[in-house]
Amino acid sequence: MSQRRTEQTSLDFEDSPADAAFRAEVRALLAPHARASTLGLDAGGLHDLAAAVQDARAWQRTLHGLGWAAPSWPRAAGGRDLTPGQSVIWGQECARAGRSRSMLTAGLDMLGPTLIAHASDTQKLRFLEPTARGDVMWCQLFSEPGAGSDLAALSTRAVLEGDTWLVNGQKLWSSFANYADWGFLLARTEPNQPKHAGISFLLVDMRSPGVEVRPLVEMTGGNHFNEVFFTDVRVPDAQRVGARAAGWTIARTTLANERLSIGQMAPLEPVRRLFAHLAARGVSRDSALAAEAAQLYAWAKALDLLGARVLTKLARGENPSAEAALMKNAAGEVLGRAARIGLEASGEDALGGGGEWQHRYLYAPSLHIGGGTDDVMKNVAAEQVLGLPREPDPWKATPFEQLPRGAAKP
Amino acid sequence: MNFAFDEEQEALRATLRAFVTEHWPVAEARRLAGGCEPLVWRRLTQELGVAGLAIPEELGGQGGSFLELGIAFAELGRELAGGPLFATALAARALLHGATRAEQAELLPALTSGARTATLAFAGGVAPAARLTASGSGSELAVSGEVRFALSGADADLLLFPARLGSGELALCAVERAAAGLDAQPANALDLTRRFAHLSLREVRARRLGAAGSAEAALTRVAREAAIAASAEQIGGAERCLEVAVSHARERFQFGRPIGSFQALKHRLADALMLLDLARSAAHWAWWVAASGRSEELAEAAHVAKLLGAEAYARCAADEIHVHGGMGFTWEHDAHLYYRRARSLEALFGDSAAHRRELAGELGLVT
Repeated sequence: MSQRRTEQTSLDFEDSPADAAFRAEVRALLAPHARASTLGLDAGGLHDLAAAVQDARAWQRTLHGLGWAAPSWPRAAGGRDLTPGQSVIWGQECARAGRSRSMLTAGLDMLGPTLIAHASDTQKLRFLEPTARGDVMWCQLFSEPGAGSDLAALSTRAVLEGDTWLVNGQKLWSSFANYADWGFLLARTEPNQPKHAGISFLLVDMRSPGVEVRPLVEMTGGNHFNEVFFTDVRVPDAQRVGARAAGWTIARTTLANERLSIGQMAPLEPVRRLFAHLAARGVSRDSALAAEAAQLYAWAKALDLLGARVLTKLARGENPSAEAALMKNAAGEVLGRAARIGLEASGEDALGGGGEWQHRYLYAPSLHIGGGTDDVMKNVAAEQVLGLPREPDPWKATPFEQLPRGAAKP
Repeated sequence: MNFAFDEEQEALRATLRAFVTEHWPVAEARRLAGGCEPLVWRRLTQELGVAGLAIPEELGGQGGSFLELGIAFAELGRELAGGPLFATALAARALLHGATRAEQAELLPALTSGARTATLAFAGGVAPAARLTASGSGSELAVSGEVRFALSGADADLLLFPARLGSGELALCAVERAAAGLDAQPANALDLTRRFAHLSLREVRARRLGAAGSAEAALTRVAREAAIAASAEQIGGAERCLEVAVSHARERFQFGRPIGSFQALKHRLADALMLLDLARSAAHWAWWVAASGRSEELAEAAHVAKLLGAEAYARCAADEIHVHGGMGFTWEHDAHLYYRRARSLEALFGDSAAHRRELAGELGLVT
């Protein structure tokens, strides 16, 4: 045991020399484009989405010009083949430079890896490059009024007529669909099969006749989500990704990438901001509020570290999606608690409208729902990590069209 | 960035897992009540070198780092095993940070070989508050005072104390078990698998260790390392509680199903796993901080690792009892031994309230 390890064979939280060189390279690359990071809230505590979309597209074009549009993708797909560790360094440095790209994440972080894994060469050629350039902004068309946690119960129909699918139905919770150029859609193509076995994965031009997007106003007063209605929308079969009825398997790639990107959101920064807020408010370190905030900081720090562990698993070719599920829950908990503590420190000013902590407070409930509810994440972790038995599903093998329907209003 | 132990470290873990499971399982820990079986002690210290894992080879140690120490105490913590080993390993670190090279060469080999046991006699507090006063000069001091809840304090052959000199200066003192004027009374303890003692010293002859003026920094460092070492026992114990709870939930049938197939239970255990995952990440980081001597991060690492270790252990130990239903509430079941250890560790080396307060200070709350 006397020879100390040199090159990253043992646990080490510092950049290896290679990673440090990589960090220096991307920091230098981003330096001319760095700007102050803001929450981007207007006077009413809301985001200006149209401006944010413009901004994200412009930055994506700049990145593309630099050759860094989608660096995590493989080289063959126009990326730089970054390792998971380098991808994180890239994300950290982008955040440091005030350049995050959340508006385009559906295409770059969720659909991109899905196409790379499952699409035909023709499809990759057609879609990957414009997505990387920021010319094509994507939205996800998965959830429905009757298919939330039980996503596989979706009922939007697609019927093949010649070489064209005719799509009818309604999607819900589509982020930024009102700005998106294209959407990736899960539709029921084989209703006589059990629910997981009759779904196909289609790419839809959002400007197709019959597509109607209705923005939803959320409880924050903002508009992040949309309802999307499909009435006899024609989608060429050439826009089907993967085999017919293989959509569920493909969607799992997309969902795992979504969970990973939500779980990776940096939780330390908001908690540091919280401490600055507490200090400005003169909160004493002997107060109950300070104690709560300190415990919260411990969570946030550990969550940050857990992210590193998940990446090590990825780098070793292991699947960390169950850990990512619990990270998503922990991130929701941290941000929700930070909001509550922040408001409590605000005293009677919490009665007023607007401000960072109020925005975070109003946004917090969504963190326990979006990307799979806390409850579903707990099932995933309990079954996949702890090995607890699955909840019996008596309808698993029943053809979709024979499933009982709830009384929920349409 | 690499969040995985290397092959040697994994091998150490596997060796200790096998050894502890066979020779010092929780049933033994219950029987020994914080003491140890001489033969097992000898093998653990001499063959496996656990008392000196994080001590240089030239001082009789294994030449490993705090990472190895963390791995070892997580494994011992899984079975509540080790007796006076925890106290001895921490005292060895105190000598490493606080004694001169000559004193180390004289005192450390007997500790790392397991020939003698030792303790660092401060149990409470985030920082090493001196409960003893010292008089005299040079290396010969006379110390007096009371120390409550000294870890393995009635078993240790060598006792290390922080003591305050008349000048106000802090000194690291060593006292032999047999010294005249030292009285050690076994304490009535919450933790049934760990021993504490109340010590009373009346003008006890003590040896002052280390260079003059060095004790404050050394003892502060040791106090933080002690909290970080506690995080190892915390995550080991919490992990074991969760494993036992999960295994029971898979095997126990009610209403015609394993109880672990009910979401109420799955969600409870998934939440416990989330806390354990957080605590493990924090502990591994803290061991690394201690191993790489990053003094600027040591305080934060100690606070974060011990706070999360306490939260995760409390939760997992309570859940183990709950999942076992009435059986979990019996004296016969081992669950309460872990439940006791969880709370005992929380009170040791600074309780959670103290660590939160210190951490809040580190993060900018100054009033």
